Amino acid sequence: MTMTCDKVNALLSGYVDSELTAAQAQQIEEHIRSCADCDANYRELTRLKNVIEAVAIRTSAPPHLAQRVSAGLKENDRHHASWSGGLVKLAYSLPALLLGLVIGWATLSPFNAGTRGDELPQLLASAHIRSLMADHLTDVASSDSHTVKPWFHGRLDFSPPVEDLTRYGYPLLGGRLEYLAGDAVAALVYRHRQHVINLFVSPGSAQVVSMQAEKYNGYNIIRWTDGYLSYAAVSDLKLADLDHFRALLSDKGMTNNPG
Amino acid sequence: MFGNSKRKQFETQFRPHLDAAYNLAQYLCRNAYDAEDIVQEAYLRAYRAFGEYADENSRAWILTITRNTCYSWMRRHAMSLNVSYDRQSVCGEVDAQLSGSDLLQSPEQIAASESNQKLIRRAIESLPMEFREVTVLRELEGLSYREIGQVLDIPEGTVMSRLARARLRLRKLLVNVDALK
Repeated sequence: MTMTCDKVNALLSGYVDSELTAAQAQQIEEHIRSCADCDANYRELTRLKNVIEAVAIRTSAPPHLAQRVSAGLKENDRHHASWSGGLVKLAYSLPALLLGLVIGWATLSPFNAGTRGDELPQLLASAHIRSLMADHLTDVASSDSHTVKPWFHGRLDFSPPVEDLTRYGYPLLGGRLEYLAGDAVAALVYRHRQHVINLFVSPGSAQVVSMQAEKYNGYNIIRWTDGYLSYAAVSDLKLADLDHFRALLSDKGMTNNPG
Repeated sequence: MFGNSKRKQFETQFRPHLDAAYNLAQYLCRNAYDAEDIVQEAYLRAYRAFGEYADENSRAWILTITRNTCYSWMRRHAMSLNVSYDRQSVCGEVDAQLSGSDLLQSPEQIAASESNQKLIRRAIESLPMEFREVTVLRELEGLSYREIGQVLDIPEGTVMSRLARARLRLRKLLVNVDALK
């Protein structure tokens, strides 16, 4: 008994993919040997399949994605660890916490080197990673500094400088409100090639203009202050590039004429 | 320490499927940046469910999660799942790009031609979601019908018929590509 053309058509894709039973496959073979229409269909299907295979239009993941995924998992573990081991940790860190409060009382900026000691790089890196995960990179997505800057009005009690650095290779992606250790700070988001930079800005009244670079979990962090505000740039960019970014911002702020 | 070794085990098992997950996400959401976010979220979801995971087919499993993450992502971002490119415009584009170009013959020659790559890619991207995902899983990732059924949560028979309809559409879209005749 031979198959009808309709039946063959229904199974032809499976035949081309070698997904039929031996018995089915044999019936198809018999049919297309004697049916020109179905044979033509079969040839077309095979051709299509070969062409798609040959053009190899599969996209590989960009190299930095594996790192990003890895960092996300690590971050996840860290959160869990801090929950489960929370009590023990708290017992150990209580004196440090109290000390931190006392010192924190004296200097207001969360970015001030030394204020919250070793915790800050971790907080900054976490905030950076969180912003990359899921969908919370920006609250206001715009490359226009005149859109981003006013957005912060009424949301913060200070006004962060928002510079568009597109022509230097650091386009502005937008901004969002971030809470670091309980303080509302501005997060400005820039991109350099495939890398995202979070620039955290907080009010701070440091007397000394200082700068400090550090690394946390593979992320580079540069903190500095211009005497009025405190800044922290976080990214997986190379330190040299991140420092270039910082230099651009500092130049902008001071001379408005970067080199 | 325990968390660390679990993470290592997870990464060893699932890192090899990162390309597949990314490729699927990119074809489904049609945007490279979103695809990265989706894959990251999918891997995190998978990691959190890793303890309960008992299946031996890790590729089908991570692709299932990636696909589900795509759908929830697109809903969350109010991206329509079924807006396909205007068929006219795809056909028009195919026509425009082919006129004046040499008509290539063998699959190898087609592969060598960047514009053909773009055309076929665009044709797949223009398929409605249900046809697009089955095409990517089969033609690009080479999954078996059984695995595809697992990822899409449909019977194998449905995989076959859906794939057949997807190919019919692709043939219509690419009817002007001479090498396919």
